[in-house]
Amino acid sequence: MLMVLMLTIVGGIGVTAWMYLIAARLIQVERMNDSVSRRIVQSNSGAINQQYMMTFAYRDSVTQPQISSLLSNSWGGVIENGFISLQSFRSAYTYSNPPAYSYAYNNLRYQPTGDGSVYFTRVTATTDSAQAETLSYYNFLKSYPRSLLGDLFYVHTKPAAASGSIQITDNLYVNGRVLVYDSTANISVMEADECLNLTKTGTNTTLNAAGTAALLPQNYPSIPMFSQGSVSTSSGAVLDGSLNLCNNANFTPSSIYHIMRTLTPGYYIMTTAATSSTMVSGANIENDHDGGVSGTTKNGGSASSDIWVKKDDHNPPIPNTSTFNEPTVSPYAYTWSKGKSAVAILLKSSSLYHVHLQTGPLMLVLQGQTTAADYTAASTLPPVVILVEPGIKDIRFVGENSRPLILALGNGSGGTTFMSWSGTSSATGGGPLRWKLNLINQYNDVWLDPPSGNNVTLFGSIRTNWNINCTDSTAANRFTLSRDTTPGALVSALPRDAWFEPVVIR
Amino acid sequence: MKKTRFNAGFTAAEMLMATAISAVVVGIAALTAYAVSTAPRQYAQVVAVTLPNGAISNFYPGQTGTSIGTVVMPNFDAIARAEALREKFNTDVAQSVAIYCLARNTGNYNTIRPGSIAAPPAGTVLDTPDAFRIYLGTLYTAASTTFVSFRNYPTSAPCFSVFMLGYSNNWSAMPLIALYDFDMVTAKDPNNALTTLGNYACVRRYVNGALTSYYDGLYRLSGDGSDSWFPAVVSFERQSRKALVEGATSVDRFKLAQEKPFYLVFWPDPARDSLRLPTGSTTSALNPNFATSDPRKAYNHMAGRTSFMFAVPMFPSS
Repeated sequence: MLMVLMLTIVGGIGVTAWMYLIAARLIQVERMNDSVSRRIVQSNSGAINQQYMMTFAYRDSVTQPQISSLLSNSWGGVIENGFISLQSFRSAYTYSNPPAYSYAYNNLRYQPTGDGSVYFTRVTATTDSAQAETLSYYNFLKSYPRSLLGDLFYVHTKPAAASGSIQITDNLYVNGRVLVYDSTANISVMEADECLNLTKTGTNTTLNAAGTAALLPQNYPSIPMFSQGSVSTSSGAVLDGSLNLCNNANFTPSSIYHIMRTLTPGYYIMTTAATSSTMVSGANIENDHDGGVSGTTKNGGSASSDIWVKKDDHNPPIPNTSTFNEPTVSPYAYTWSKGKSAVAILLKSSSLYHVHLQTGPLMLVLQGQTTAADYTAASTLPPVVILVEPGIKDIRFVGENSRPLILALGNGSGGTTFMSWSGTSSATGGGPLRWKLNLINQYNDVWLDPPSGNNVTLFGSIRTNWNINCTDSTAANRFTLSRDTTPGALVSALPRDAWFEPVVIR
Repeated sequence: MKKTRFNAGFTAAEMLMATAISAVVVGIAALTAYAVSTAPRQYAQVVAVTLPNGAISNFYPGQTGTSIGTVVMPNFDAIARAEALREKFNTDVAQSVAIYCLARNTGNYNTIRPGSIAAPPAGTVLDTPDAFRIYLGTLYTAASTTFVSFRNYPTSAPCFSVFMLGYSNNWSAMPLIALYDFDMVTAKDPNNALTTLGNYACVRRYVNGALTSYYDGLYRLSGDGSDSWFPAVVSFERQSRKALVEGATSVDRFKLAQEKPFYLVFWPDPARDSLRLPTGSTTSALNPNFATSDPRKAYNHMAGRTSFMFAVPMFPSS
């Protein structure tokens, strides 16, 4: 009996020790559970913070009170500090023009701006004080026309009404980076130095600069980069990659229609319904410029006018050009209609207003510079913005252009727009025509037509959500798109892209 | 006279039951005594080992010599320190703009531990760890001999360094908010330089060159010759890169990330007693059950070997 008791005691000690070991392991596992829970809470809080920013911070002139957004059972949440009249797309803060808080550099990619920074503003948030750990979020809302940072060609998501896929010509070489928002776009024959595919599943890319093989897209993350916010109280950042920059009443900070109405020196419109007789902002070109045109007067202006309108005539006598007959090759062929106008714009004119061609013209002639002196002088002029509605079928580029130019082809329905270059270069030794041009093509079937026997170098950017074709049937590089290294005031005239960079402070 | 049943002591049945109970208790006690008696050797043993020249001074700035005292794995203390380091690692990841894992061969100790590095010039694209390695080589001549080039996983290098870059208030510099070095070197018997005791493994965190935390330990040789810790880093790229076919059995199988490229990072587990490969794996055929077009063919043998595995985004906050 004594032996049994002794064995029981010894066994009890042993079992107790064993259970302590088990308990120690259990405590360790519990601590690991706490650790995992902490990370989940942190991730949840970060996600809520980002969701809030995307929903509210990219509205225009938005005021929000302090808001607490918490998940149940303490699974995370944030207290978003309030903001008043926040205009993230209009912020003028840069590193050299800072607010009370500092600029947070993300130096992964070179930012070729004057002070190495971009526009930014900041709002803040903290995690719920009831949580075991308090984090602070410095939410930097950054924006800039990224085309000025080297992203030269944007392939936006195609319009919902469009059938088929976006086609980009093999006659174009992008001497910069291509951004791809549409996973179905056929960009496989255009050439580029760099490509960043922002879609989740798309595997479309360009050819390399030599045109010899598919270009390996960059490995940078697909973060939301968007050009539209919202003035609506029910939506925020537009993250679907769509292009809506020509006339977007729902978000005016990045709408060309609205931007040009805020710029100096003013703007002209062209409509078939004249309402004004004086040359002021918003005056009707057709009736007011240089006497205008009417039922009997078919010629308003001359080759030296800022704007020259010829009614019923598709062949204005522009210097250094012979004829501007409408193209006859399908699919960009069209037939001139009596009663329609051709509008010629003199880009070297320092008195030129911004122009909105709304109704009436079929043809737009952009008179560039045809001499070296004019070309040099025009580079110092402020940007000019031209908004073209879908009625225009034909755009002619004469000579060269060193003046910053934004040409927005308004929201079409897939119809063709013929864009033809002519003239010779005034550069020493000649060479390709040089054109400063930032083109926004919103659902038009664009056909680029190079000058006979010569090529074109575009300094600027192209945003498109539909086809960019070329009349050249070969695969030669007829158009080169390069970065505008001296954009000047274009910085404040071009629509911006925005993105979100949260800095987490522990 | 009739005998009472209490005068005969225990009955045979009672003795049988008592013996059986005792047997159970004694059996448990024996197992417990074994566990407790063997535990000090396995859970708390500290040994002195000799590391290769230059290892200690590199791992632990300010220290000299080649002998170090360390715990033998498995070890609860090392587990606790590893878990603390894991928390720091996750915190650093969440605050980083970009993370680059660079591979090193055994014996190529990392000496590049600055507080910040110069921002890249125009045209420099730092979208992969190898792009960063090349750029680092333009700043530090030691980088070219310290780190090896790899696309998705190093072909042989078992050691690695993790560079975590943060936001800057200066366009010309990128702060290195934390640097993690993992090294695994051969540990010798201090009393007999010809005797290998095992593999000394350590994970260390540095800020501006200063060691802030670490865990280490000795993994005894398993005896079957399969001790290894490779690959400790696997890099996955954006799915969009499938646009360029580079080989279904080499690179393309790692193009899986829809939004953010990421790594799998493996630290050795202090709860394990050795670095032997799992059953079914050999050093010549690590994962024989996976097709060559399957990325797991490269690293699946690391599964189940450690609870210190991380899925780390390459660009957490950018």
